[in-house]
Amino acid sequence: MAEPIALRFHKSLYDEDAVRRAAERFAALGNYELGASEADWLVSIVPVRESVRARLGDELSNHALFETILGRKGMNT
Amino acid sequence: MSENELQTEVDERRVRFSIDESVYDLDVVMGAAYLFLDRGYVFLDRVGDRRIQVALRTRKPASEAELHALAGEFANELLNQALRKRVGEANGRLREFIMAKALFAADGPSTIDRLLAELDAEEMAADDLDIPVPWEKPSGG
Amino acid sequence: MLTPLKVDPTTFDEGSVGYFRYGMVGDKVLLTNDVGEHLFLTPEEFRRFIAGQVQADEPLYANLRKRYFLKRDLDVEQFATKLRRKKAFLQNGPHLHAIVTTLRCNHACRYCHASRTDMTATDTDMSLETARKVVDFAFRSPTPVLGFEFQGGEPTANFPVIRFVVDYALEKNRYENKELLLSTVTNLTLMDEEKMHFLLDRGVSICTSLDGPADLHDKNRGWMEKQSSHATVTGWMDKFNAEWVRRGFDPDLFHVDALMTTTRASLSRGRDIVDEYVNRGIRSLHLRPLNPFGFAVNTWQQVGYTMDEFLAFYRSTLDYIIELNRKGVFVQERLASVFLTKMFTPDDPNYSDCRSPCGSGSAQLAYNFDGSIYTDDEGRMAAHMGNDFFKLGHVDTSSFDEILRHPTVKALKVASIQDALPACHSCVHKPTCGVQPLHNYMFDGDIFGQRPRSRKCQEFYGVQQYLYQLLSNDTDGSLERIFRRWTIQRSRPGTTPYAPASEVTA
Repeated sequence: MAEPIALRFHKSLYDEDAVRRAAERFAALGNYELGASEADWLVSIVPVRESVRARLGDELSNHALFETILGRKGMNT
Repeated sequence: MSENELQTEVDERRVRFSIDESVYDLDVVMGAAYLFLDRGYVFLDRVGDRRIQVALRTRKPASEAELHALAGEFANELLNQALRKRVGEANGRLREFIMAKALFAADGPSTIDRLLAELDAEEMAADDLDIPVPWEKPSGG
Repeated sequence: MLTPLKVDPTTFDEGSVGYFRYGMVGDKVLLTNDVGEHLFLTPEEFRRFIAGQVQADEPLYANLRKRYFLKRDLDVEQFATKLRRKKAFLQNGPHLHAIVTTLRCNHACRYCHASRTDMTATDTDMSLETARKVVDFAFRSPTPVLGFEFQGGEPTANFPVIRFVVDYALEKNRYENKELLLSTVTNLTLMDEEKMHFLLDRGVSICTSLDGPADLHDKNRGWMEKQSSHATVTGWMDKFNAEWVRRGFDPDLFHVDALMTTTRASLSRGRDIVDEYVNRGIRSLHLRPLNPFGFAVNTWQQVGYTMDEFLAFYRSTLDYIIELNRKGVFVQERLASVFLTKMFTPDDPNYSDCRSPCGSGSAQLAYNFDGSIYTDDEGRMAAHMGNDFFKLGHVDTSSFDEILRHPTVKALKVASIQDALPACHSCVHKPTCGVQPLHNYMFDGDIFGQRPRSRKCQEFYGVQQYLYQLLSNDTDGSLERIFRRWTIQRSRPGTTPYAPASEVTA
């Protein structure tokens, strides 16, 4: 079985729903599990193909940040 | 914060630095981070009570100089985001007041327009036959 | 977009500086605000401006004040009135109603994914009964300006429905008394004399597809007949235009309009395309990029391009259009004129693809041949590709109120209010820009979220940035005079406007 990619997102910086949505978005490329530690939201994801391993964690992390910022009240609003 | 003031760590395709949240609050950091999402990969982490670590990773190989320049651009964007935030906060209430005045003006014709539109909307909602009345031609008007 | 400008936010003077957005254009700082005003400053002037150091007796102070950039001395009443006028489009209901009379089409264009069918598929024709319901439904819109635009397929393949809708709408409008705009998009290859006179007699404006000179047009637009589509199209354009002149109408106002679609083959042909339009008497040219969704990968590789490639084409072609204007030849670029209208006039052109909030479902609706109602024609096409999100109802079963209050319409509005979108809300081009949630949906699977530098963002940002760049170097004001002329919309009195209905001020 392929080694999972372990990602963590600090709870004070990332929104829980945003992390979940990001994981769901990339579900076709990896089997994921969500979890949490005291400080972080955790995502463990096993790529379905080794060819996507190099980018999967990076792309998922970017998307988690995108969703987090999208959900924040804008600074001018 | 200028590029020179950043304490950066560089490794392959990645530059890391930390930001004092008492100088640049989370809105400002997030605002800058958002603009870098199309440039590469952005990771935020908390490395102290009031310190946020930013890691920027490029999609393609980058030289050390390019990575330092990337951090410099981020630092400069923090200043611009901080200014934008101050402009927004200083004018927030005035903008809300003007927006309300513009869209819900209490002067002559616009009030009539608005009331007629509201009446039309009510009539449309209440009309079982779904025969709405154009707002510019109220019934009996 | 990043701002390569050194600023010191601690010097900001909260008491004197009003709300503004800013960005760099060349070596100048561009200021914009909510009512579409703009001003160029040097970086040093900008630093003095934000620090509240511009003195009341300086010309710069008067410039800043006149354009509502100073909180001190701000005329709140006047500013609010201007803002109200800029957002006047919010008060009206859908004004543009696109009717798909049929999906049948006799062309197989390389870039078309408008859900076309072969000419034998008459089961995709709209019935007269459905057409009547569509007209009745559209007239329920509270808009004082009501436009019907026939689309397809090739809409004239089902001419009886065009005939019926035109006559029924004109008859109905005798007591509804709206400003009625009728137009048809057509490739003109099914036209005949009788149809032409019917359309001209009733003031239906014609908008055809013309991608440029014959070789380029015919390369893009595969026609089943194996003849030159270009020759047929331009032949009918000439006939229509001659007939308008024969009837005594001003050819500057009354002529066949055209839309072009940019393919990879167009990128090196900007001047040829403009010349083709000008030589045919067309005064308005919209340099439209391809919508990249819905293409097979190999097709996209043949006809597609990056947005950077498109913008390079746009800039060089716009330069040529300006060059012609300087020589006294009037021709305008439509997207530029949309932005310029927002920059230089008190009004918003209500171009539903570039509004905040967007006009999908609230400024326009599209009716498929079967009576299904969509947010707009792109929403209909998205449905054809398997996304039913943009279907709002059906003329048989939906009330107008239900459509206006449909969750999709509400969601599209929320998703396109730029003040609530990261990066958009503080973008220097926000006051003159707009978001298309449908594009976000097609690319990213959700309507929320203008991804930074999405394709549409790149296009709109790139065009506006170039317009401001040109204006920032306009030392004698000659370019501004040309640009201001592009913002003047001359209506065709009593009939239909100069521009296609899809690009008309309501």
